[in-house]
Amino acid sequence: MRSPLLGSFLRWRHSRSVLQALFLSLAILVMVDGFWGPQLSPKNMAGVLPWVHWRGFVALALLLAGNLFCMACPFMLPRKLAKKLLPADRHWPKALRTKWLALFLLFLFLWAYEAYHLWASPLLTAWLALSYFVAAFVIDGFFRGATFCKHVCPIGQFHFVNSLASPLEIAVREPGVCATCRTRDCIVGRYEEPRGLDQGTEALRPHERGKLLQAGCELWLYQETKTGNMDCTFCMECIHACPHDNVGILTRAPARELWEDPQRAGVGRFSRRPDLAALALFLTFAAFLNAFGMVTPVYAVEAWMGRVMGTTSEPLVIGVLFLAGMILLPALLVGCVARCSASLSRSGRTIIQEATRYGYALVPLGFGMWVAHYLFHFLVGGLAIVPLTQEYLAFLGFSFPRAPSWAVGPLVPESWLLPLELIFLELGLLVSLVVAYRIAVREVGPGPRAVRAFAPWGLLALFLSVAGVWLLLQPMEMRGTFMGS
Amino acid sequence: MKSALLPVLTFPVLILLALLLGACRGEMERGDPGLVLDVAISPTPPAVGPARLIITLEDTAGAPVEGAEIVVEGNMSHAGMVPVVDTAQAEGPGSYGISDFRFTMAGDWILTLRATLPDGRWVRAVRPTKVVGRVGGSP
Ligand code: SF4
Ligand code: SF4
Ligand SMILES: [Cu+2]
Repeated sequence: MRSPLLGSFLRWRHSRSVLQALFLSLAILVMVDGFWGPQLSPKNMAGVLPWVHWRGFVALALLLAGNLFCMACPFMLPRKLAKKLLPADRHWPKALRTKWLALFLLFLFLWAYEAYHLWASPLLTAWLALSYFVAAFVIDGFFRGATFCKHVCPIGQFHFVNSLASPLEIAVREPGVCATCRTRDCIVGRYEEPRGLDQGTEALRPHERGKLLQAGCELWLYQETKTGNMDCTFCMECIHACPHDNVGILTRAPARELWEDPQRAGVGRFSRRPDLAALALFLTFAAFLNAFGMVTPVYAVEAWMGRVMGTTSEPLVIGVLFLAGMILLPALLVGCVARCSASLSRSGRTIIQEATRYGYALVPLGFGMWVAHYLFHFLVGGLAIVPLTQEYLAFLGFSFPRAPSWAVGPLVPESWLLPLELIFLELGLLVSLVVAYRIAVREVGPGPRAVRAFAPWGLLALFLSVAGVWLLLQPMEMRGTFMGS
Repeated sequence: MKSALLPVLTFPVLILLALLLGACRGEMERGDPGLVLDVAISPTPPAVGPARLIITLEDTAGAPVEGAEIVVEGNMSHAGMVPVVDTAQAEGPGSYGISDFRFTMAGDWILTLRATLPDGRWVRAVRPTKVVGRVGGSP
């Protein structure tokens, strides 16, 4: 917010709506072309924009800034409309106020991506986007606040978890100002009528205060005790709501919040949220399985599994493979590691407690793998949007001196790709090791005990990164022909 | 309410935009129905690396058609992979060829061939092609 140009754009209260409108237009373009355009993925907006550019943008944004996709999320404008048309007054069931549902949906999403070759099917991609709009519209149309973002949206969970390692955070500038603030607009919102507290009277209830001028945090993150990026969509409502201009987009030490364990507003303590730890661990392992889905050996594994299971159904085989690789194997590995760490350091904690404390340490490693993978697609295919746009415009009647040239190369020399991927992966490993060690020190104090508590987690991270290097060195193979005709 | 104005205004614009942009961009056209374009690949199935494409262009009666410019574009089923584009050389009556069409990666490819005649007639053919890996593994 401090940089002059970007800062004043972001401070403008409609900046977010503009970004969202831009992304909504792109999403509509993806759906329209996906439904009615040519079903050849590289020649369709629904093949190129989501799987090459969107994923690359998300990875880069999280790495260099923060949760910028949620900030510009295309599902937000229709959702705003839903809040006006529908009651939006229900409370989300207590039993669902965890990340378990979102974790399940994330699994479903990754499975469908692989099982139905979404990258190769503009039509299915368009259906997926449409169902996303419907889900966000319906859920936030009936439930209060940003229920969809906080408890349902699988994409959002991906951002929340990986943004724990991002360099930016929405936070309070001057804690002293919050300490004297009596209106708490950043959480309750700003209304026509002031809350009343300032006049020393009884506080007014929201419905007694006239029109809502500016919403407060709909993810229930109260700024004064908000810590870190978990559950924060970078929506900037709090920034606009704060009457003292005391909330901003601030830089910070990335990944530091992974080893600290304060009571976080709207989230609680990380170490008391097994659902959150499970989500973080799931995403870490999913990074590797997702990449495994596009190298040659995966097809041998699938063929073998098909023979053993006596089936030729790819969705079934991939379902079992992902269940094993994203849920069972991680549970087993993490269980063993937590056990070892607990007994080596004599922490006296259960496996679940131990895993819930240390599991977050693997986030940077998983993030490194996601970045390596998604950036690869983006760097190789980023320019593909140029001839595609040209063809689109030509279709609309604009004429160009030359026909679109499809033979565009990668954004960086091809020989840079592998080293770049390895750098991101190993950087992730390094940060993960640091985080694991810092957690150990916080848990059992410095010294040999911390080393013993750390060692099993360090080994797990090392093992995963070796698996990652192996993956990146494999020849790539991409199947999934989906011909519409 | 000021904050609602902008989103509400953008909606009609977006819908309009969508209708304008995509409504009728259907499947790729196939061109002149009087022309038949086909391709054979050697080896079959092709492996990562160079492959030979043997292309034939005939009319519906089976008579060879000469003098066409034929461009072959290989795409992976995954968007954003660098496509392979090459131009065929005439090799005989109605017969054209590319001696080393380089498949850069294993997996599912889609070959799109487009033949254009000097009189402006053209025809397009689309051929899904499975390319096997060089190193073991492939079932
Ligand atoms: S969490 Fe909310 S803002 Fe983020 S992608 Fe999901 S719907 Fe969009
Ligand atoms: S209102 Fe809540 S979700 Fe939005 S930026 Fe502020 S803290 Fe994050
Ligand atoms: Cu991939």
